[in-house]
Amino acid sequence: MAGSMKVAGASANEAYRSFQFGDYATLIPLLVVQWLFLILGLNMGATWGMAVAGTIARWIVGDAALDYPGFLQLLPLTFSYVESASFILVGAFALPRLAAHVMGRTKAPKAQVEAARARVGAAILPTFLALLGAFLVTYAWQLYASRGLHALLAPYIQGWVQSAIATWIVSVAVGYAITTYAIYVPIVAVSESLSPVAALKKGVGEGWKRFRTTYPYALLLSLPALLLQLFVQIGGAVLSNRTRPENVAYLLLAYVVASTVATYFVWSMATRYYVARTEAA
Amino acid sequence: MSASAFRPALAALAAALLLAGCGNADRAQLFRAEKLLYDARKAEDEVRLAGKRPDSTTALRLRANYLKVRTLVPGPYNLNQPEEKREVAMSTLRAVGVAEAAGVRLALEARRADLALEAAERLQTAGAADTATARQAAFMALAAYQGLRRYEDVVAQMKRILATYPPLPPGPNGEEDPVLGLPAAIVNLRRGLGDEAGAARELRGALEYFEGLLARPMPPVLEAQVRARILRANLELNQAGRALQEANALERLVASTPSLRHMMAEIAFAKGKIKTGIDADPSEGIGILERVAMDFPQSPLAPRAIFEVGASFERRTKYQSALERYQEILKRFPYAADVAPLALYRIGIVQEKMEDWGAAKSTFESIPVRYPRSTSAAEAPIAVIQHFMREGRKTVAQQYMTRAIGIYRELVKRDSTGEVTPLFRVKMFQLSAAQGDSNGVYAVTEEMLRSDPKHPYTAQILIEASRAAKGYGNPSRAAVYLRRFLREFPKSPLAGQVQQELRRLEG
Repeated sequence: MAGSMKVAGASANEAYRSFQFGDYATLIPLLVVQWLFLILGLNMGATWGMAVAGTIARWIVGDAALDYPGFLQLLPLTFSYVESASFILVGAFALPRLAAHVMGRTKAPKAQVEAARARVGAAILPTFLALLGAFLVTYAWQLYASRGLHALLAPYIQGWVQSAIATWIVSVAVGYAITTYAIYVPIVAVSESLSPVAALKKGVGEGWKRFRTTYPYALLLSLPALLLQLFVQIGGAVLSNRTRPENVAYLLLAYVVASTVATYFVWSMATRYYVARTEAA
Repeated sequence: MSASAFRPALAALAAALLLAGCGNADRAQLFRAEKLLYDARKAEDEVRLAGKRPDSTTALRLRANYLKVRTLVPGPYNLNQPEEKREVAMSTLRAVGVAEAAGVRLALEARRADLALEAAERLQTAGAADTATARQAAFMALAAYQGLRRYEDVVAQMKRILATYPPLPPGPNGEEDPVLGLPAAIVNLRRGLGDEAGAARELRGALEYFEGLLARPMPPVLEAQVRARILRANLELNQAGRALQEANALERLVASTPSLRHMMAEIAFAKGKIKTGIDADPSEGIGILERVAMDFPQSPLAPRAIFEVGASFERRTKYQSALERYQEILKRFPYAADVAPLALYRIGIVQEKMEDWGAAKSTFESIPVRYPRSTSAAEAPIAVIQHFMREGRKTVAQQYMTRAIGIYRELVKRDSTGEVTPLFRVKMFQLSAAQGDSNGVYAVTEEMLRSDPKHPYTAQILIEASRAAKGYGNPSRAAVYLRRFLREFPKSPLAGQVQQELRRLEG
């Protein structure tokens, strides 16, 4: 365990120090999709903005999301769904590609890297299913968290802000734990020639096996993005009322950058860790 | 599984978005209107939160923000559409209406009633299809006419609103529809213009209007409000029998509707007032009125009830009791603008009747200081002069006239556009004429023409000033005033006579 922790730490360190824009670029479609929604949302006064961002927001939160400043006040909530949906749909394409790219930066044999690149297409389905599964479990958990967790923590934590922050921390910590089980699915899917179901099973198994070493680093590498998310979610309404409602969208634009960078670091670390442990085995 | 497998799903998603997005131009327009309105409100809030009342330049700048809503979301706001689209068009029109109303308010604050009227007329045309917006525009036009001091237009507009928009039932907080207040506003306006006969005529018209409303079915809460208005009108017209009938009808309605309990004060006040007026022994009526003042201290009827008790004692020459009641009003309700100044004036009159002239004089002299915006402030200096005249002390009366003119001058300076200010000027005119001060007469006439050219007092002053100028040996100035009269009041019943007089002067 201590050895694994050390390897995971070295992988995280390496992922952080050897940032490659070329690898990060695999996540740019994800950034573009999320930015596109926010930019369209900032232009709800134009027909095209209302037609796309308005329609999506209406599906998610109803008619209240079509008013000004209601749309921007509800944007943190609306965007959390858009972020999840885009992560599942675009991430299914981008994450196997990212894993294959990062693999090329490790000491993995050239042939293995080439094979990994060739399996990117086949890795889409298992990755999609893994991300969808993680989302559904996280959604169920957050549904409980929004109703039960707040009441559970209320007797121990005084004040609305403190209580909201505590609820958010527990909710995100559990959400990340659930996602940790899906992290290795795209990596396994590009590393080995497996059927989609087998890749899914093995990927989740790897997540289970490496949970204790992966989870803390995943949280650590995502910290800047998480802090920004905390600020937008808890302080979004205050920010909207005290300054301008549009500032919520601008903060979310910054959050998207931080979040895709965090995604890059997490999968870069996990890929390096997976390759290192596999080689050692 | 390759990337191409997802393409149909993405295409379907795009198609769904496009289909769901049909008709979004209207929604986008509404969003734009809401955003502009939000920005305009925020800018205004920032100015007002700074604590200062915006000057006219700032008010017009803030108004420009509100006007952007109509400029950038110009309509037409087509309401003849299927349900959902109609709702969006209606919300857009209402957002524009709210912005225009705020623009009118700021134009009036900047003393640009002309701009307010222009906006109101525009909105009346644009919002004709939506009753709520058209109604709002009609009230905006009314405010603009008031700002422009076009009194006849004010009355005409109020009557137009009464004829077009039936009163609505009260909202969740029980607030009365402003339409119900218009008949009384017309009566008060006529009174304020010194037209007592017109006020009495309008009061009868108001009664007719309210009785006409009862012919239609309406919710009990609205019916109670209408009946309360009928009751007040009957009381003002001294129709005790009909007022009593109405009070009983209202009492039955209140008894069967628990949410109307607060109207008990109105009923008790009416019954007490009627009984003190018609009973040989008014003690029962006085008892009822005193209970109104005790049981409903928050009601605006509480000080009025005490005043009625005081007036009843005064009528029966029980001056000490009357004095105590009037003093009670000043102690308990010093800010009751409709009753407190009058109570102080009556204190002066009662003290004079009790032959305590020293106290009466100081009371009269305190009124313009304590209540400078009241008609009592206009009457008090005259009461002092009349006292000296009655005592035959003409020199003292003449000297006091100069002092009284000074008092009026101060009152005008404090509020040059106030509701009672024309009355102060009329008093100044009358006192200057009584002193034979031609400069004073001409100065006040010019001042009236500048500040209130359409006021009936101005018509009266022009004729008086013309006569005075002729008396001072200045026929050309006399003719100028008559010509101005014909220009400002061409429809006046006195126009024929004035024309004849003018021909005589010019001939």
